[in-house]
Amino acid sequence: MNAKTIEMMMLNRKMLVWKVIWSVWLIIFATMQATVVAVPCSMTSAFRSAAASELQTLYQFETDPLGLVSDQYQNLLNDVQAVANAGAYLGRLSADPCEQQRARAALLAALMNPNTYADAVFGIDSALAAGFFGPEATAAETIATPYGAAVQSSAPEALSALEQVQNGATVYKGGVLGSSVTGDSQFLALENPLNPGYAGRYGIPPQNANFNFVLTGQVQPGASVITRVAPGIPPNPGGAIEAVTTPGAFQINSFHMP
Amino acid sequence: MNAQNINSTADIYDLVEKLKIECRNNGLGDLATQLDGAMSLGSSGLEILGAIRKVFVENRTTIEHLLGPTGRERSGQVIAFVDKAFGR
Repeated sequence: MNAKTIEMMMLNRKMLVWKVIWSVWLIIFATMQATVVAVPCSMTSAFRSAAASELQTLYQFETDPLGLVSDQYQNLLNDVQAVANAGAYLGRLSADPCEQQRARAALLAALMNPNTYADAVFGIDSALAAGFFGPEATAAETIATPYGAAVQSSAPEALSALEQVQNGATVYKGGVLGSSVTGDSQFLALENPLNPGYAGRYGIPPQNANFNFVLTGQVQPGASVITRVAPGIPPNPGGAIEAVTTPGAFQINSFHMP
Repeated sequence: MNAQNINSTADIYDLVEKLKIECRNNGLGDLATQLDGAMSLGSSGLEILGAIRKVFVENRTTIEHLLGPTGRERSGQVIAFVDKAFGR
């Protein structure tokens, strides 16, 4: 497991804690709005104790099982404790209008604090970096290439192809030894370049479509990748899908010389 | 060279082939080799177009001169076509 993977795992786990934090805040907010649930003192006490314990355990287990990053995330730990403590107000809030008013003021003050926004931005950035919102959220919008940025197409067929590539579909690179990029190729096709009509669909100069090698492989899981519709050679309108990824993300499975 | 608007990849490749001839006729073998290399990059039309654009950008003055009175316009059309193909 490399440092990048560990970092991503930590971000993922940290975001889980953020979700818990926001969930508890939402519960508090909803309770303040509703103010109809009467919670007995004994239950409030039990809830306070259980919530604090659960949230602390969750934080320690999910974000720092080895205690490696406690110092770095002490503030977050404090936040968790604060939320756990805040959970204890649930019972009182439901029955005490004065407590509700104070809690509203406290919540408003917290939301007005620039640090709150900074934390939220950090949390969202971390979530995106960790792929917390699913594969589509981690899909890069653009990929830098030696020829400028390649931008993800919004065409349905391109988006469908993107999903296929991200799920390990076979991608191809054909070329001429001595002229074409091989292992570090960023530009990949979703069909074999030796297929009839390939040059027209993928916009290859017909005189240069006699490839003498074909590589097959996959885009490395988690690597940034975009897909675009290739410009065809008239009268062929194109329409074939190309994938563009980062250098080194093409995992080669086979090398074939026809 | 005769003026022709750039509307497709075929137009670009035709222009490049004519430009290569002009390069060799004017003692610009290196530029012709660069264009040849771009055209032979492999199985990606995007990659080929991108490489052609790069050659055009890096040798813009020379290429515009070689393309004649409409050189600037056509050079710009090539770059714009490739930018559109890349989604920019």
